[in-house]
Amino acid sequence: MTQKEATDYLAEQLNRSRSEIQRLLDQTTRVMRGVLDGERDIVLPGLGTFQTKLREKRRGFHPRQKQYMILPPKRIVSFHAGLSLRNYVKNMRVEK
Amino acid sequence: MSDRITYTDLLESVSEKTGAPKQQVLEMMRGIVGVIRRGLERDGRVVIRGLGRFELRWQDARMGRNPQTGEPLEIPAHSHVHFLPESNLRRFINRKYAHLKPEMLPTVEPTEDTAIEPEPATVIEAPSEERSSDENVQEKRKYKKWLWLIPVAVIILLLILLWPRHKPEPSTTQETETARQAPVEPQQPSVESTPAVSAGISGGDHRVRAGDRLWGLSYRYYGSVYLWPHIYRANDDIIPNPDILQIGKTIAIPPLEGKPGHLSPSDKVSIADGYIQIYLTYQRMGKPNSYTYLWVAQRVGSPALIESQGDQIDERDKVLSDALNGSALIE
Repeated sequence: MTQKEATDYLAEQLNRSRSEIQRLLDQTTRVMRGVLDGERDIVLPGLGTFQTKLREKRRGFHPRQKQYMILPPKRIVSFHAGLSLRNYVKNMRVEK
Repeated sequence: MSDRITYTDLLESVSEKTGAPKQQVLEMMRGIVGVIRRGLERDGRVVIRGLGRFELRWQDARMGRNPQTGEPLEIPAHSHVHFLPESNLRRFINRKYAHLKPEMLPTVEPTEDTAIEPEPATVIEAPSEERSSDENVQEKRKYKKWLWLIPVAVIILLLILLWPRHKPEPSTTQETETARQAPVEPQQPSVESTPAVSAGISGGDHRVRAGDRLWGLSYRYYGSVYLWPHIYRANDDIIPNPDILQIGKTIAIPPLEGKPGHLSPSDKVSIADGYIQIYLTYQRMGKPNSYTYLWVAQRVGSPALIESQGDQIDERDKVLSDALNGSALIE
């Protein structure tokens, strides 16, 4: 499902115009982004948990240059599906 | 560590930001959850702009263990949800670290390493230890390979220190000469220096022209932009603001015993000191992220050096730079 399809679906479900939905969706994700940036977790009921973690600097290897390098630390966003979502998708098979 | 935001708080701040009533935001939130579920069911993937992509991934049945009893048990085949944050989100979350780039370690070691690699004997000989997940053993093996370098490095460094040094004469036309010697790839001074210290770089004077920057001079004379605090340190009485050079002023380019990537111990001390000076200056100027310079100083120099400046260094910055340090990787 693409972004456009998702917006269309939401607009239909919530009975609002697409532009309105898009605006609201953008604002929502922006707030979520800010929350994550403040190193707080977000738990959405029915979906799961979003959180950020610090990935420490580590040694990597550049295969072409055959050189070891130090990869700098970075933050990653992780998502863990909640129990209900896990059970929901458990038996879904997607053919690629 | 990290605490979570409550659902109501989240709803409130969204409604505050959008001006939409809370009821509407709640609907929206539920809608998002619903659309993700729906999309996963229909296509196995959903893109939500601002967050990223959710997709189903299939996991075949595999053997696992009961974490409590250690008993083997089969984990049946199932789908799970995988989330890929979009690049905007990743960039935003990481903007604090955006200036950090991967740092190449000197080439010498890897080639030696790869030379050893094809010998399968060393792999097998390593006595199998109880806790051997394969990775652990490999980690250990790598670590062992690096160990022998330490005594060698110490001996060579000692030799170099004890060797009677001849002073290189400062050449008058050093500008272009040294610039040409610059290695193609600038390396950070914090890179663990390898023994092979060679000629070094003689200093000189430089008359500031339009467009000159300290880091630019550092690249020109030393072949690495990262050594600019070394120049600043030698001129801190005439450069009030390291970001600005006054045209026409003559600044001293201090000599370097080693080369970027192969710095001598005394180079390291003065460069670390330079980074501390930069830190102190930037802190006075109220520049954000000045603590990153403290971090470099810590990595290049010794802890004792930092301690000696102890009273001037803000405790909070120290904590921040320690946090940057993370786990000791090669130290």
